[in-house]
Amino acid sequence: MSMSKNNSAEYLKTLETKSIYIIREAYHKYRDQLALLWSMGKDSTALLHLTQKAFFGKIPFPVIHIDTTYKFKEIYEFRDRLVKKYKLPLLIAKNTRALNKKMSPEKGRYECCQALKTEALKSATKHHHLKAFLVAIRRDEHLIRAKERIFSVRDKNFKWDWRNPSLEMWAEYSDANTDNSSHLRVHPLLGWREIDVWLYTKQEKLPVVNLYFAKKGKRYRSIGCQCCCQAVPSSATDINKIIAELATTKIAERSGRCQDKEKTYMMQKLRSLGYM
Amino acid sequence: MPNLIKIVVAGDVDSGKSTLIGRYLYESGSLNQGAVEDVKQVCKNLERNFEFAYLLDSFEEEREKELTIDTTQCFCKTDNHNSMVFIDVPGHQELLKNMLSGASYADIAILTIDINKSVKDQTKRHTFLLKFLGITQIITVINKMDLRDFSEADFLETKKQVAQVFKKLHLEFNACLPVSAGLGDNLFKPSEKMPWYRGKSLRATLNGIKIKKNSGDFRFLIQDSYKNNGKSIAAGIVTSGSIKINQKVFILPEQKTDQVKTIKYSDKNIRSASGPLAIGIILKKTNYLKRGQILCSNQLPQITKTIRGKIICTRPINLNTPLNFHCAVQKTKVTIDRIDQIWDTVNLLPKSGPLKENDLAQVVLKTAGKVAIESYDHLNSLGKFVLVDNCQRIAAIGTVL
Repeated sequence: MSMSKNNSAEYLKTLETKSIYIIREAYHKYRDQLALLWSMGKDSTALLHLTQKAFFGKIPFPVIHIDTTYKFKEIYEFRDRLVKKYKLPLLIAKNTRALNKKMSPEKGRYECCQALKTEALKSATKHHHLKAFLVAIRRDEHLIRAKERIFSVRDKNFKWDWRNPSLEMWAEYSDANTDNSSHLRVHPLLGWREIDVWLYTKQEKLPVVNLYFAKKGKRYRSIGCQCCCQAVPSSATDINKIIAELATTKIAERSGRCQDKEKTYMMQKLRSLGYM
Repeated sequence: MPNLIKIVVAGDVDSGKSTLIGRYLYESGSLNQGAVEDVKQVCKNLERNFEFAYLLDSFEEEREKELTIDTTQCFCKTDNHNSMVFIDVPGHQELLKNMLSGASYADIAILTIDINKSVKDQTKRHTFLLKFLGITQIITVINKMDLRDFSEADFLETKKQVAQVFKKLHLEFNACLPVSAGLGDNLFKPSEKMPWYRGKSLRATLNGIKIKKNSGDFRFLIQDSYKNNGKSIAAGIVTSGSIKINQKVFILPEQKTDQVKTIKYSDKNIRSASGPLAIGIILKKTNYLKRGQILCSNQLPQITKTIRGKIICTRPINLNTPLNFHCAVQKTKVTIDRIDQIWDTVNLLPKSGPLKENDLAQVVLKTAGKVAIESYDHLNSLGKFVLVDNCQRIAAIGTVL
């Protein structure tokens, strides 16, 4: 896709405005029961920045890192640096019980993702009395995520009832109701593409984990746990090269993410149970 | 210049909506390596031929039953500076909510018709719903031409029937294309099998599409009021127009006037802003602005407690049920004061009350508080609304006449 600089800035302005609108609507409704899920990846870091902009510099609710303890060391360093720099209200959610029992991908990737991500979020939800999360998933990441709504309820058992999705009109009015459910997922970046996130990261001069940049002919397109992420062939050593690469690449963004590919419908199954 | 064109593909069950999008994405080179391989594997497991529709229908159940249950969206590469999003929606009448959720995003539509079935009730319903949503640029695709040996006579016969549906709904009937989505004929490339057809392929038709942009007067929707350095600041979005500091503005629905003192964007003060932009505003005289208020200049919206509109009921509505009117950031109690006409969107015929799910009605609403509204034109925020019941359920969606 080729876009002139002005067009791209105008387009990003539209995306930013819609996302901030959604973030503020969620805050209006949930106030201190709202939290932002931050994985330190490019998408949730862009979401963090949008949230700062929405509230004129300061984030008025917790930022949660679901820590599986298996993340890259670069991710932890990045987290700690940004928390200090922006004085972020960080909460760390860990499933210590599963970790004490030595949960790891060797016990099965599905079981590991379920225990260390979904269950960790579940207990954080309960412990901090949270009712809504801002989550930086995008439709173009995965065909299952493409089915999502901006406002998406998880039921009492944390499950995504995709058979019965809410009515969402004009990407603004939603039927999603949390009275009888565990919480609401709010997806302000749902309509952004991978390239939009990078264009925005460049425009706003946002920091990113250096794993995204190519070293020795490989880079990470999507980052998470070190054991379940593979680098993909790339010569994109800086952000301009990443943007150029994305205009032509045929490699899927999450092709290096093992949990997506282990079995057909694994993502559907994980997400049905409350995975992000 | 608009950068993103959102296209909903509507039409009857099994008219080939998902197949059309899947094949188009494939031919335009919009798919990544893994996508086609994954679908090949799934088709092999199900002992079926390759299905382009599975590129959209990603749920296991959708593939097994060969039916779209929920709406989805996929980006598509284009030849020009625009980018495109295809919105797939289910064709089944029972899945109307999912269809509306998807279609309400769209700027334009592709209406698919299976030439073997021609115009069905569901074709009419979807056309009717597109019109309700203000989507008037509709490209008609007469699909599965391969099943009729690419016959011109059969195409013309179906085309005539579609033209009648459009005429009845006062919709412009422009592009109408003979296509075989499954085989890719006249989709991305002109078809060699229909030498009689001199019109454009779907790709050429889409390349020629232009969409309107919201170029209205200044509108600032107030979402909330935050404390910022001890001052209260109205947070909201400029949906259209622009604003400068010191500029005179009207506060709606009160219709008071004031002047802009400060415009805040992120953590900085700026001198002017033009929409769309999420900003904060502090006025000179009014210390406290609240959610639901709207700042405007130039041509003002209508300030009223009486709204004439069209609604589609998403639940049965008993006229005694308390309802709330939500229009952008505005919210107030409302009653349906008068019903001028009800149409059954199942049979597309006028009917009598009570209001049932999927009914369309022309109504007069009376709101408890004053609201700012504008005639719906598909772009303005103040022309569309929802009616919400006391259990937070959307009972109806509506547009202002």
